[in-house]
Amino acid sequence: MMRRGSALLLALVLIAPAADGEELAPVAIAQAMRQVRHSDGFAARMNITLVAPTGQRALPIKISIVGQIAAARERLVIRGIAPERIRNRFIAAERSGDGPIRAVTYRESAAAAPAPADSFIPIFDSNLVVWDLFAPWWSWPEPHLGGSARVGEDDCVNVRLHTESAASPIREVVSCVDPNRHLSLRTQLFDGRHSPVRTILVEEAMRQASGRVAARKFSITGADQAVTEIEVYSGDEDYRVSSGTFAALDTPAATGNQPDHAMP
Amino acid sequence: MNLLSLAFGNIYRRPARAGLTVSAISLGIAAVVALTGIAWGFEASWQKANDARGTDLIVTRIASENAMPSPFRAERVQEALKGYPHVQQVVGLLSEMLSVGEGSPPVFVFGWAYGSYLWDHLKLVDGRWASADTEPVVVIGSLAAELLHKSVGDRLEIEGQQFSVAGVFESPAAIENGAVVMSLTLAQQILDKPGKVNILNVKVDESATPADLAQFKSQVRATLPGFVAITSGELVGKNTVVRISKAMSHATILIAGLVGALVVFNTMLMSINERTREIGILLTVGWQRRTVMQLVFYESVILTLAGGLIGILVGIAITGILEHMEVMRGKIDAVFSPSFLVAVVGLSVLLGIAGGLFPALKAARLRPAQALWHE
Repeated sequence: MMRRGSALLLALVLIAPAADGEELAPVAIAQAMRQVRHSDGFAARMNITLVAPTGQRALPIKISIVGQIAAARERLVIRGIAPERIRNRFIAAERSGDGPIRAVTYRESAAAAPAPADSFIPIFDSNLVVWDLFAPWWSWPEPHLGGSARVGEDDCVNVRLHTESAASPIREVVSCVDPNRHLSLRTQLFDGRHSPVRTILVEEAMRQASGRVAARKFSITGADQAVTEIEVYSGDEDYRVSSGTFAALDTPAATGNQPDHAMP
Repeated sequence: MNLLSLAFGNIYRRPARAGLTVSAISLGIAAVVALTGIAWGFEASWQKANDARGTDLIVTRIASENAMPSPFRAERVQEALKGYPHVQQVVGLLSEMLSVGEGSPPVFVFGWAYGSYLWDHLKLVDGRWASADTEPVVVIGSLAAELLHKSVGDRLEIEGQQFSVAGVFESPAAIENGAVVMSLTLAQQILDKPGKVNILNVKVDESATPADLAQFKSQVRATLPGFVAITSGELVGKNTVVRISKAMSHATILIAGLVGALVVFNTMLMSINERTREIGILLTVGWQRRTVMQLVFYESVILTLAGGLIGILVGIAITGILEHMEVMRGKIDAVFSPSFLVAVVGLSVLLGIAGGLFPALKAARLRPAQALWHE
């Protein structure tokens, strides 16, 4: 009996590090982070408040984001809800596989044709950037671990990712991932000179009906210390995408060649 | 002089200490009363809203834990439910907490199926109801009208769309009084959730028995995977906010109970130590040990009972102030049932007995000769 117990204990000791090691492999984390984003259709509405480096808070704006994400193609449409100045102003963006991100802006009016846009444009003057919403860094080669950290109350593991592409204004990303919840608690984006460009910090997460964990409150701090506070107040992880949802991306403006790297 | 008046006299002889002890106990009891009243009130308010609508059963997603369950496509489920025995109506409800207009506090916006029984319990106090499913108007609860400073004919901006306030209503449920109500079709349109609802309200005919409702629940489980049929009470019980607030109230009861008992224990122990000679004299002149114990118990119970009664009043007053604060209005509808208040009084007595037990035993075990020599 004792021998059987010891054998079992030994087996557990041998298995445990292997399981841990497998779970914390940076490639596996990056793959899981890509996988967890997949959705046949989702919608989220959020309040965005801009806080100037002086601490002055602007009146919040409301936007909605509708998306459809698969390995072969990712599409997003961002719509301004309120106030009046951004109402029914749209930004649509698309990425095929690991290719470049193409974006267009347009208004609801049928008369106004979509115009090509830069994927690095801030969304309605906030620190929220279209490019970040695609989290393209999870496709970058050779991610590696940068040790464990603690963000707020939660433990996470730093995953360092970098790209050699000189065309990309973001060259390095350090993402502190909670591997159990597949949630990046803190994402730091750096330029080619390793200067911080912005930091995305999750302040509150929520478990959705499907069991996935998503950020409910997060902030984005720019290099100038201006902060964008974002709170998701409504969500639908089973959004029915219609043929017209991403129609703007099929217009000539969107299908033409556009850079995805030029800073505004 | 009887034992009770002697106990009162002993407490009165040390007014500062007695006052501090009563204050500490009353603060603990006030916290218990306020938190429990708010937690129960929150639960009762949601349940009252569901009950007032006349809903017999609610069908929703199994995984729902939020104040309002996650939205789902209603069509298929709704059609299936309509074929169940005793079912009269199956009505969708969509809800979201939204800020309506710049700078205004968020309020519940309900979308109810136009012309359904859900509207029947509302009492129109001003204006009119919507005349068509897609008419761009809303009706607002009397509290919402006050909080948003809106009346009939005013405009409301909800999710970037303009609506006219057609009427103001009153509801038996505080949650609805503080809400904006529109047709389900409009709510689905402005929230971009076409065909979706948070819950399906089921109304059964009068001949349905509790066994029929149980059968309905089983049928939903068997034929609609991922969905569950529950009563409004069960839905509210699953609510994470209700669970958290109840857990907090239970924790407060435990902490307040422990602190209260310790305070009484300390007070009575000090009192016994100071009165050792006096107790020795009482025993010498023929008092029974049981009587000495009774005296100590009387004193500790009087202290905790006074603390309990004051605490109840303070707790109710704190809740009343919170209810009338601008940021909390319509969000708190505390409930203080007589049975709960009696239980709080019982808790106070229990604290007195628990805290006074050891000091009473100590007093009763004193040897008269030793006690008389005590300095």
